[in-house]
Amino acid sequence: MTLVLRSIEHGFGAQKVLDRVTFAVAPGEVHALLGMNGAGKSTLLHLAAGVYIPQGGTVEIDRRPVAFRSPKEAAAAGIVFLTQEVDRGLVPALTVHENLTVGLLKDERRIGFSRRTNRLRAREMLRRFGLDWNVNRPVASLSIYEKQMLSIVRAVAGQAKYLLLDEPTASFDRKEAERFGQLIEELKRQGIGIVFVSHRMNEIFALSDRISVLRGGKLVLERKTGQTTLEEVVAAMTGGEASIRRRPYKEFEGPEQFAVRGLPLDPDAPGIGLGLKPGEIVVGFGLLGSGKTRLARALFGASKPYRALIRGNERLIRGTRGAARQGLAFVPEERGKQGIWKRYDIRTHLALSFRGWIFKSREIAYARELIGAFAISPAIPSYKAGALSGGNQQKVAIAKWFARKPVLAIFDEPMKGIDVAAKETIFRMIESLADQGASILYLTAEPDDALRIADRIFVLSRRRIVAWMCSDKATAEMLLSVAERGEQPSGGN
Amino acid sequence: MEAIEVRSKERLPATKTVPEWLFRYGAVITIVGVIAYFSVVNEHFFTYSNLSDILRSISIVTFLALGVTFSLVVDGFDVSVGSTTSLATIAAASALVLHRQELLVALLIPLLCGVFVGLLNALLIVKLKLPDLLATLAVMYMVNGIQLTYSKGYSIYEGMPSSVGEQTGRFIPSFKFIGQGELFGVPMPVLLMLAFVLISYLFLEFTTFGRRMYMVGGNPEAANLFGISVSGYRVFAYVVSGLFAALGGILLASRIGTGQVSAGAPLLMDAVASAYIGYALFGEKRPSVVGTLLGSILIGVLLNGLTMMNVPYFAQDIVKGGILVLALAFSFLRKDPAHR
Repeated sequence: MTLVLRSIEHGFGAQKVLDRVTFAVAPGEVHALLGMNGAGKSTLLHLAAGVYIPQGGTVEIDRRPVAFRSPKEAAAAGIVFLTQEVDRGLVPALTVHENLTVGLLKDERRIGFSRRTNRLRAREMLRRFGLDWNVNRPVASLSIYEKQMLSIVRAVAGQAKYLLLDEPTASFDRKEAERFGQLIEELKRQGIGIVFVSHRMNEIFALSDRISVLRGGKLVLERKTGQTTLEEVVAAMTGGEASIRRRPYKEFEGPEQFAVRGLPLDPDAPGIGLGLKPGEIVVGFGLLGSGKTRLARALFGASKPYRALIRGNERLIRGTRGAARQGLAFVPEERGKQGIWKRYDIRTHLALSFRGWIFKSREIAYARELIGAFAISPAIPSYKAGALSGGNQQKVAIAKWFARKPVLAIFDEPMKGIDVAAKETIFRMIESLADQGASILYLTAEPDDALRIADRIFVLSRRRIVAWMCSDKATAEMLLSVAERGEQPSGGN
Repeated sequence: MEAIEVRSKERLPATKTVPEWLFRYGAVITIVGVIAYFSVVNEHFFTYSNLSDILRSISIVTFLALGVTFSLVVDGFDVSVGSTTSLATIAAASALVLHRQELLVALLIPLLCGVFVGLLNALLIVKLKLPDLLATLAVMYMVNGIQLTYSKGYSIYEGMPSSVGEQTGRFIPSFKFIGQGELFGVPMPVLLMLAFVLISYLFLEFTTFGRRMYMVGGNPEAANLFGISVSGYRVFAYVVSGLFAALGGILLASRIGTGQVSAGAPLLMDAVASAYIGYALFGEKRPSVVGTLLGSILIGVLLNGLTMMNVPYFAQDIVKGGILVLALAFSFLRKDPAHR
């Protein structure tokens, strides 16, 4: 009962996305699929799930070729694809138990059902995976983690034999990721084959049995997880150029250009105090729920009016418009929903802060300049932002602020779901903003990213700042342990 | 046929039989086709005087449709334009006939009414956060009630009887010129329509202000987090919408020379249809001034041609609805490239 994609070829228009890729997953196996953005992972999953029809090669189940013409047919054969957008397929207004059993009821051709037995059934289904939830909650009130788990449990209950998971853990915190790992173990015991796409290396090495790496549409590595190393995998993904570097340590001179005192994130917590010098990159490190997004939104004036000291003058920031006028810039966490306009082209984004009449040629020239500087691909100013890959969308979301010459640029988890190569370009974009004299506040839950970009780091926990560190003395372990305990390590500073 | 072959492999089967260009220009082809058809079946159709008639007949609706377009640009929807037009008509007629005012006042009062309705809409939508359609629907009823109450349900005309004898105010010639005059052989309403279409077009497509209105409509959350005042632009859009409806009302009063009650109501649906045909035009799903003008022309051409062919007016709505379906279908069947 092995699912095999044999010498798959596929392309969009003239561009070839997959070139004779063979990929297999056996029952009870976790096969991790890795690659940069645009390597073809997502296309491969879409082909396996019947969303696209392969232009070459075959999909086989148990050596018998199958040709899915729609996701429905693939699902009937036991292949379920869960995309990054977990909301898809769940009905937010209905409760957990109704969402869980909707497929079962359909199979049983039942029209009426008793709520009581339905609840019992749903509870039983969840308990099998060690989840003890209140099944009466509406799905709209669940966290992303809970929705993801719910989708998986439902898929398995609906007789799925193969699960295709596209970055299921991207927004999980540590504990959630742990419980997710237990769920995967349980699924393996039940003989379910899992294809797993993730950017988190430690997770991949902990959970997977086999690792395949795609680069430029070709399969460049396939190994049993025990027989490969992190270095080998990363080298295969990047073609051997990635290395973790840090910014050289530097003492920043002169007065702070942006400062805020006693900015409250919730009524109980003491206010946040921050001061940033020109060109300085300050990282706020905090786990999920520590108040990162709240801090970012508060600083950008999206929650309440507050006072800040900007270049020595006290300013009242009333709202987002005021914040932008005072020279603040914000790259929000939900890139697609909050950072870009999917139906507008790259030029429109980059020229967004231009004033007066629109001169198309001038804007195109400006757009080309930024596209070139940040390697936005495809390098076409009239390309729609929604059709770009995640990394390029993020580049556009950041580049749209460049014309403003911001005083303070706030980044909220900008590397979510972005591959290693695009990441480095984006780090350089952020550094070039700092070199122009902007102060940078970079909020993240990824210790490696924090160490890569920071001049100074503070740790955020339960909506308060619990520690400050210089980046040259900080380590990933320090950051994680301080953030989890929520207090300053004894003896350290 | 080649284009179909390439597409079939990457798109879903539902759309593979219709080539891309048909989606893009489907609505334009419909207009050209309709005009060609009428020109062939009726020799009087494609003449200067008839075409000029068509343009004059659509000029007032186009003003309302422009108002709706502005509300669509910020992802809103204004159905109160019909009532606003009625109110403006009554206001202009009242200023002239009942209060014997001069041109300036007779123009200013209806325009202020339009601004007032726009602000009321904006208040309900921006401050009370009512859904656009429902808020403007409520305002539509209120404004319609206001103009009916003010006029006690009677039209306002020259020499109408009142408690103190006949009214002595008149529709002054300068006011009538707006709706009935001609300049260089072109009717004034057509000139005004073209002028305002041009201004709106330049404003929405070639100024950054207009572009930010589109950005507010395209993704309000992203606009807010870019420091664009979403509420500000929405208020502006509804005020502009009210102003355009009021301009339509002034034209209407001037054209017929009386203040008819509820004169704007029948214009609403044509205005909405025009704006939506424009929204679907070029397969862009984007409200635009040029699209709205073409949509309005399409409806005008249809009405004119069908009348010439002696199709009874009550059957014409069936054709209008059919055309709207056709135009929208072209655009909505097309897969959005940004959501592949």
